[in-house]
Amino acid sequence: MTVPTDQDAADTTPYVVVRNHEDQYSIWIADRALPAGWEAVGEARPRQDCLAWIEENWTDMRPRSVRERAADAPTIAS
Amino acid sequence: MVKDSAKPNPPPLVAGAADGSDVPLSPRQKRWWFLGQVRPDSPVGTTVVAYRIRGPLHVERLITAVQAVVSRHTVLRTRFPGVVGRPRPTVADTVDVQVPVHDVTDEAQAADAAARWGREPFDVGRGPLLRCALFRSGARDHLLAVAVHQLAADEQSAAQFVTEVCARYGGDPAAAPSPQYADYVVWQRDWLASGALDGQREYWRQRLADAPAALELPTDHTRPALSSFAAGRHRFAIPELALSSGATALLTGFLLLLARYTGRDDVQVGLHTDGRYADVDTAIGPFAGTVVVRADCVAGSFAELSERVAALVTEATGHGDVPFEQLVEELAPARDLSRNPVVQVGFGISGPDATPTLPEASVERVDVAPAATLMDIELRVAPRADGGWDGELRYATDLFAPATVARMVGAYLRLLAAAAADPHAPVSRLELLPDTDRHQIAQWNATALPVPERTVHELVDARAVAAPDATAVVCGPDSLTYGELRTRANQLAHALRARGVGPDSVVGLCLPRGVDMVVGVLGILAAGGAYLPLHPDDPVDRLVFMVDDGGAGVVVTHSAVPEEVVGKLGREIVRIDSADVTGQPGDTPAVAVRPENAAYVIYTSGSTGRPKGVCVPHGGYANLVAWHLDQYRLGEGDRCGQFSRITFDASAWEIGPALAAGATLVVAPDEARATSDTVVEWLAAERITVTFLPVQLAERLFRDPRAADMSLRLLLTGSDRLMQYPPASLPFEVVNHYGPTECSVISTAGRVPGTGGDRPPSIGTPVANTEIHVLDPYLNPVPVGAPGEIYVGGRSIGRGYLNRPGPTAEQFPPDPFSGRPGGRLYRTGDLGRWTPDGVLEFLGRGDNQVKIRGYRIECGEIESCLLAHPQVAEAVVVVRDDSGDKRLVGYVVPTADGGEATTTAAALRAHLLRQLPDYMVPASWVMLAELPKNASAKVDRRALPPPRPARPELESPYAAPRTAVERTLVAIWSEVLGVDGVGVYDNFFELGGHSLLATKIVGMIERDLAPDEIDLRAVFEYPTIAELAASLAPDDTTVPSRTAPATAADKE
Repeated sequence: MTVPTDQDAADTTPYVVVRNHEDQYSIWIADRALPAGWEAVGEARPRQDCLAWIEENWTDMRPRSVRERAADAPTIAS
Repeated sequence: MVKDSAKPNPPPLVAGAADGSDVPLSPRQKRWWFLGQVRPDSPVGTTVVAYRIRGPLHVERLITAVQAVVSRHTVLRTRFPGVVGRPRPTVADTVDVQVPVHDVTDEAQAADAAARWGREPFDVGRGPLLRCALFRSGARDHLLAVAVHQLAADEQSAAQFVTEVCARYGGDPAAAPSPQYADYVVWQRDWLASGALDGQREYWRQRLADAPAALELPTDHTRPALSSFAAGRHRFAIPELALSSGATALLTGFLLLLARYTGRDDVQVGLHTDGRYADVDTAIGPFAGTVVVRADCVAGSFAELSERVAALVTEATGHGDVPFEQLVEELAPARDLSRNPVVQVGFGISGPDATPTLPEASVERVDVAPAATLMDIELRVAPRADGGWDGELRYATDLFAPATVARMVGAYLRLLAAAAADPHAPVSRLELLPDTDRHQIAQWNATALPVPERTVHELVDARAVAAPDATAVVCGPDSLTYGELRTRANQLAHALRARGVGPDSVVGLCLPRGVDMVVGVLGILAAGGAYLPLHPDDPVDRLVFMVDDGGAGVVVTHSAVPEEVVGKLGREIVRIDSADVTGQPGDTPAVAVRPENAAYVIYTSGSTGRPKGVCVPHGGYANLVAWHLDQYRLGEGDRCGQFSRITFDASAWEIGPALAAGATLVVAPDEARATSDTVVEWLAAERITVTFLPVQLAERLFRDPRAADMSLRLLLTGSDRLMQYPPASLPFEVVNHYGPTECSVISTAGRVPGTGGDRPPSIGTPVANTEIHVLDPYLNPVPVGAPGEIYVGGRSIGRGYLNRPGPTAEQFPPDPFSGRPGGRLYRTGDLGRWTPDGVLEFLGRGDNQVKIRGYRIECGEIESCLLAHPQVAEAVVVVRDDSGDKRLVGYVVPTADGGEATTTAAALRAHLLRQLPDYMVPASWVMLAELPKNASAKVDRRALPPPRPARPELESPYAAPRTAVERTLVAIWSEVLGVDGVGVYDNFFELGGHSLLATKIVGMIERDLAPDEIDLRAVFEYPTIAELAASLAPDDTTVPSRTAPATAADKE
């Protein structure tokens, strides 16, 4: 039994970057129906490219609801 | 692909080439003979065919016909005695084959009786290798059964035999066929020797060069070292499919099924061929062969895969002149008697049979249960007149339960239906899970439990207000009431609030074990923050990394924590015992904390070396506590242990539920955690009623006599793979748990019964508001019983890894199963499977499998087997490469009563060989007083000492050879085993021997000693040189008795 690692999870399979209502990001196989509550961000591309995009662009990892409440009451940021 | 040179025209087949005095064996016959020698008590090699005869039947005339046909075919008059370890075919002029008549009540009973009758093993040395019987259920109603050994005939030949018998019965005086099977064997031998087929050999060598040694289907039972070859079967109907490729589609679907069940795309099956050539189509004999079809099922659509499979079949059969058995000799990495070499799964298409006819009676083929199978599973399909197919899945009953096979068939049919519905969809999208499985799994995942809309610290606060004088926390001589705990936590919270701490602020918590540690946790939560536990004894660099990476602006510590630690953290420091804190008000600060806010951050070691901070929100933590209180019914009278290190997420599980229930949390002081012995003392002395202990300590406690006399009512364990079942006599319940840090500590739980089967205890069922999905690499659920990767869904899912967007996105995919909009899963990287009873089995990490001699080995399986030995307290099996030769090493801690003196490698090896294939038995053994453990009480595998390189410490002392035969054997063993100083009482297997090496030994003994008789089993039966020498030269009076000397005095 082999769990595919990132390397062998079919580099040829196109993925999309997806985002939910909390602005949490993940990736999804491009030609599959998106699960409810998720939207695609950008074009289909290789898995590693999707992850690289997320690494670059998901800068505030707090869920949206947390972030919006925090806007009223700033806390210590390091 | 098919080279011209690979398919030469065969030379002419000459009748009479075999002159009778020296009948050779075909490679296939050699294989059957070998299997018969290894397992003479089993029906391996037996094929049974049966025919229903309705109408008048003259038994004497039938017997005459049987004997006439037997006399036509030389191969049916041949027996195969073993001489000097080799078969010596001997042809008899006449063979007396009778047709006994057995009375049965009805036709169904006749078929059952015939199947049972067929399982009676043949004596291949004595012959005959064909027998007949009639099962009479009425004066005009008979079942004619013919059983043949595959040394003499294959199934098609057996059917042909019956056709000839019926014709002869009807008066047809057919002559003996020419050429006969032996002529074919000579022809084949010469063709192979001519070199004309070397191109085909080379093709197979390349085709199978990097093939996996075995296709590992998930089994119900542990694979025995030596297969019994006993077969079961499941028959089913395949409807006509809207797929153009017929049998190829069935094979394609089967390959895909195997890929899904094994979790690998590269699968190979043995395709049955009739092995017939035009010149020998009237001969009877074991012509049937196997060609290997190896397919990569990864990409493309079913239609495309079907085309590839069709091409592969053409290619394979085009290279099918080299017998499979000869390829095995050349290719099989090891002769493993637990499974068929090269292919463990078969596929065959039954063609229309010749129909025997009788005067005045009707004859009809009747299906009887197979006597034996070489394969793990084998799919046979036969076309029906209506366009559908009859299917039969044969399986080794050593390995599979009938319900599992039925499920496999359900998945196969589902897959075929999905492929027929959309042959151009990617195969990864084809549905495999039958609806019954889907509903079943949904039921097992129905875990809804209402959770109060309150955070854990709010629950604790409410408790403290309700019962301020109850004892909340104890650690050694220190204790706090709920009122004191609340006051101190709130004081800390106010101090933190004054420094800007609020929701989602990460606050370091760097305190030694004690009541203050608990104050710190609650104080940080009460301020709205998330605590980041830091152990003051951990390397300062690691602490600094976590504080930086976690973005903790403030660190809570204590004046007792050394300045050289605190000073290096470079953060604002709040000392919990300073006036700055104790001067704060004790009321609860008003902070609005939401379920999405972070509750704690725990660092886990990443496989890449950089630890990742797992962020768990209040919602997940509250869910854990709600589940725990619901499940374990904690009350104010409970004394709950707090054993875990604060940096381990189990500590959150220990602290929250106990305090939310108003129980007393008993923190284990460092000295109580020192050894397994002090832990037991602490549990007893503190009258703990409920506690968590990691697996190794829990298993220790199972065997501790003090366990019988404790206040403990509930022992919760987890964090590693539980291998042992608790003795039924324990006065407390044991519950096993599984859960990644990323999913709020616990994802599954299951009570561990007092005894289990041959598998380790399960990890139970999903906890409240949690779903477990066992998925393939494309996120398809795998069938019940099949292994897959464990994904967790539900309310306990963590927020992710702090400041690690890539790994978070990767490990937390969208949840397509729950229907919760925007829901996420967590991908654990662990392998597991659902059992048919709805509990989950943990099957190990996806990435720590080991390979020895090409076989994938789960060391945990060997360990669990070792632990079943009464004299083994603890066991670890690892792969070591110290000497450049990768081998398994077993580390064993003997039980106190067994003692190191009496627990021997010999006994352990014998014990394992009873349950495991020889390649899973460690080659070296190390006895230890205790296994090395790391900080979280898990076995530290890297700290295990290397085994002794030379002749290992064995049960018997070294004894030198005393006779010429013994000296020769010592030389052979040393050469084969690569071990110097082999003694005559040393056990071959303890020195690292295995069955492949045993075959080498037999070959060298034949070469050097030319004994009258030697076969492979001799090495198993006489595993020491002294014994083997005595068996080889029983009359040699110079060979001493088998009794081992008591001392090492005669060491040279």
